[in-house]
Amino acid sequence: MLMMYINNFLRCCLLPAGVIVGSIISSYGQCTPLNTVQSERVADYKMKIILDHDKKMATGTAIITWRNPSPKAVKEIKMYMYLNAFKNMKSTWLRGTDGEIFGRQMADRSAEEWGYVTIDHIANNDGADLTSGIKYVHADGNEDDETVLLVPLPREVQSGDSIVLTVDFRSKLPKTIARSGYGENNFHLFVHWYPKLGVYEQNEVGQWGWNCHQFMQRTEFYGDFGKYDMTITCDDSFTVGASGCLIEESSTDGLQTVRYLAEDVIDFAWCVSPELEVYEDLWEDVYIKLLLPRDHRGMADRYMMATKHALQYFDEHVGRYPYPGITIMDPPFHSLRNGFMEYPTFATAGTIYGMPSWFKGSESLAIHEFAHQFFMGVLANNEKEEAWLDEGFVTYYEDRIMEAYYGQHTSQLDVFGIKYGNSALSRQEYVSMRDHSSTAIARPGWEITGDYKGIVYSKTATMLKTLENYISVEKMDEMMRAYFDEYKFTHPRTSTFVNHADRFLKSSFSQSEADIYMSLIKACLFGSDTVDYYVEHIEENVVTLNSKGALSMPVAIELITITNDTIIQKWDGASPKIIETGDAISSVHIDPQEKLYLDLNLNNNSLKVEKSSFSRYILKAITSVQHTLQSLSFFL
Amino acid sequence: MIKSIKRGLEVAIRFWPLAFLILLVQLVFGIIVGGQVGDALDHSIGFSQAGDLFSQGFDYSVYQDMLLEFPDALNNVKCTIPIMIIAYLIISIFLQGGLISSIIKSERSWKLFIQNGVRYYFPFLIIGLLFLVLIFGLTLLLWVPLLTNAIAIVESLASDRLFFFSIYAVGIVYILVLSLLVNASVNSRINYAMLHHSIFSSLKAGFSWTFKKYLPLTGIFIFFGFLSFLLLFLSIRFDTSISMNVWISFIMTLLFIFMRILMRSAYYAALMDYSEAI
Repeated sequence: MLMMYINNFLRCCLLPAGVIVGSIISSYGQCTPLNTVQSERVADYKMKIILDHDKKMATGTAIITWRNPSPKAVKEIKMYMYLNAFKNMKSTWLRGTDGEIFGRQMADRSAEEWGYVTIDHIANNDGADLTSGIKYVHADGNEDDETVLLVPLPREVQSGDSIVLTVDFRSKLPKTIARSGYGENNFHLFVHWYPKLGVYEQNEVGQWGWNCHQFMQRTEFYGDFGKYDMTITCDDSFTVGASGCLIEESSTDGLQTVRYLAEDVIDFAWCVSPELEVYEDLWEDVYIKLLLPRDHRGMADRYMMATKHALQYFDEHVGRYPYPGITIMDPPFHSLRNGFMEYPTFATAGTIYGMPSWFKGSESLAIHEFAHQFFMGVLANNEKEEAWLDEGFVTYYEDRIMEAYYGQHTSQLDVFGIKYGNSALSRQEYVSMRDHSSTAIARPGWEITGDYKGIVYSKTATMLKTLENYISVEKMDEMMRAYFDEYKFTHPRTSTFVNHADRFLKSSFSQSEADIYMSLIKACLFGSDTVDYYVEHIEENVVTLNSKGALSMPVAIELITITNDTIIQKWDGASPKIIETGDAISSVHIDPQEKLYLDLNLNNNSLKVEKSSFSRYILKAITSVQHTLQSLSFFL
Repeated sequence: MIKSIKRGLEVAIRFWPLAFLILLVQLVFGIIVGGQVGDALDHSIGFSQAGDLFSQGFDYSVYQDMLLEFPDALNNVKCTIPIMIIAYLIISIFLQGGLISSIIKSERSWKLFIQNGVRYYFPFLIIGLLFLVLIFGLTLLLWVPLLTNAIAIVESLASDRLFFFSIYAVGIVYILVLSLLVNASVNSRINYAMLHHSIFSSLKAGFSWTFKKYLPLTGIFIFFGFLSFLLLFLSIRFDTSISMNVWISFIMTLLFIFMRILMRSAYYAALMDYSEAI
C-alpha cells in the first residue's frame, strides 16, 4: 500500500510531463480538418485577432458571412455581445446577484477588472458603414443590459442570399467572474467573446425572426452552424488552445501567430497561458489535446482515459463523434471559475492539486463537458429556452459512461466503504429537492425558479434512466441513435424529441406500452407529478399497496410467503391495491428491480415481517465512538 | 529518547490491565451510541428490504432515502455525542490520574489506581482544562484563518500546490507547538503526582522541563502520536477493505483500539522515564 502511495505521489508531482502520457504526439498535424460539409453553414466567421495580454484585450477584425435561411427578406441582424454581461453589475447576468457570485463580492472590483466587447466599426459588403445605426435591444427586459445588439441593414437580405459584415471589435476580458476571463500569470480564456450572430429561425407557431436572448446566468448557448477560420497573434511564450484544428503556426519577434479552423460548429473558444502543459493522444482518428497546469499533471492520464471512454461510449451507443479533434482545458485553480463548461470541440474541466483517485468528480466532469459535444454541439438545441435537451441528456450519458467504466456503485466515490454511483447521485439530487410542486422540465431557463440543477439535469437524467429501465438499454440506444442520425447539425426542440420518441416507441412496442412510456415522458417534461409507491401494511395473507404521488407507471410486485413461495403480480399504480394470498406473507416488494427510478422513496417500496439486523452498523458505531474518544483524550 | 521509548513500551505492556479498563469504559460509551444507531435504523428501515441491502454494506441511496423520510432519525445520536464526549473527558481525567500514579509507583493495584484517580482528580482537571484551552487557542490561531480564507487564498496564488504546501507547513508548526503543550501538560501532571507541589509549581516545572528537553520529548510525542495515528488508519483500512464476519471485524477493531490505548500509556511512561520519574 505504501508503494502505491509513493507511486501516486511520483506520478502527481515529480515525473516530467512526457513520462505520464505514454503516447505523446510531437506534431500538431494530427488534428486535420475533415474537409467535408456536415451542416447547413448559415454563419461563417473569419477573424484576425491580436491579444494584448497586458491590457487583457483581444482586438481584431471579423468577416462574418450570414446566409438568410428563411423564405423572407431580412432587414436587420441581431448579435450576441455576451462579454458585456461582465461589464457592470447592471447586466442581466449579474443583476439580482447582490454583488456576490460564488461567495465573492463583485461590485467593488476596479474598472480594469471588468470586461466588455465593443464594435468600433461595422460595414456590409457594399462598404456601407453601419456603425452609427447599431444599438442594444432589450426584448428580455432590463434596459441596462448590453448583451444583444441590433444591426439595422440598409438593404434587405433576400431569401437564400448572404450578407458579409466586416466588424472591427475589441474584447476586453474581465477578471474572471465566470466563463470568460483572465486569472493569475497571464491565464486568459476567451469564451462568449466576440460579436456573434443570433439564430434567424421559425418559431413553434411558424413565424420567422431572430432568436437572440440576453445572456442569463444559467443558459447561454444557441448559435448557427458555420466555419470558423481564426488567426490569433499572441506572445510566443503562451500555450494556445482552441476549438477546431491548428492548421498553421509561425513565430516572429516574440509573437506567435496560430490559425485554427473549426468547421460545422456553433461557436469558437480559445485560451492562452504560459503555464499550461500540452498532452496529446489519439482515440481512433480523433485527436485529443489536454491542456493542464503543471500542478495538475497527475490528472493527465485520468482526463485522457475519461475522454477516450466518452468517445468510445458515444461511438457504441449514440453516434460517431463528427469532428477531427477535441481539446480539454483544465484551468489552474486560481481560475477555476473558468472551468466546468462546454464549447464546441473545446471543454473546460476542473480539479485540484492532489485529487485523490477514490473521488472521480474530475473524470465525471470531463465526461459531462465532452458529452455536450453531442448535446448542444451537434444536436444544437436552444439552451436558453430548452436546456433539458442538452443538460438533461448530457447528465444521463455522463451517468451511463461513468458507471460503465468506473463501476455502477463506485463511479463517483469509493473510499472507506462509502460508495456512490452517478445515477444514484442524479436520482438523489432530484428526490431530495425541497419542493416538487414545480418541476416541469421543458421550460425556458428563466422560468425555472427552484432547484435548477435538480430539475433540468437530474430529473431529466432520472426520467431517461427510468425510461431505459422500462424499454431496455438496447431500445434506448436504438432510439437515441436514430435521434442523433436524423437531427445532427440541426436545432432540435422539445417537440422534435417528443415526436421522435413517440414514433419510435409506437413502432417498437404495442400501442398501450408506447402510450405508457410517452405518458411518462410527457408527465416529466410538462408536469410536476411525482411518484412514491409504498407498502401500507401486511396483515397475515393480505397486503395493501398505495401511492403518494399522482404519477403512475406499471410495476411488478414480488410477494414471498412464509412457505417461501414467490408470487409475482402486476400493479398499475393508479389506485391502491390489495393483494390476498393463500399463505401468510413474509415480505412484499414493489418494483424489486427498481425500474421506476423516479420513485421518491425506494425504502418504503418493501415491507417484511422479520426485522433486518443492523449489527454491522451498531458495532461500527461502538468502535467509531471509541476511536473518537481515544483520539480526543490525546489532547487532554 | 530511544531508551525511554523502549521503556515506555515495556511499562505499557506490563500495565495492560489498566489500559483494558480504559477500553471497557470507552466501550460503555460506545454501546450507548451503538444502541441509538440500532434504534434509528430499526425504526426507519428495519422492516424494509432496503434494510437488508443496507445491512450488507453501506448504501448511500438507502441512507439518503431514509433521511428524506425520517429526517430526525439520527437526532438522538447527534445530541448524545457532544454530551458523551464531555462526560468521557471528565472521566478520562480520573483514568489518567490513576494510570500516571500507578506507573510512577510501579504498582499494578486497582486500589491504588482508584485512590490516586480520586486524589489527583481536581488538580489534573485544572491542568487538563488549562492546556485544553491553550490547544484550542492554538488550533484557532493556526487553522481558522487558513481554512476560512482557503478559496480566496488559492485564487490569489499562481499555483494551488502552494496552498497545499502551506497546509503542510502549518501542519508541521501545529504539531511542533502541540507537542510542546501536550508534553508540558503531561509533565506538569507527572511533577504534581511525584512532588505534590502546588498546581502552579507543577505547571512551571512541567513547562520548564519541556522547554529544556524540547527535542527528545517532541521525538517521543511524534513517535507515539504517529503510531497511534497509524493504528487508527490501519484499523479503518482493515475494517473497510477486508470482507469478514462483522463480529470478527469488531473484535479486531477493538484490538486496534486497545493498542492505541497502550500507545497512550507507553507515551506517559516514556515521558516519565525520560524525566527519571520511574
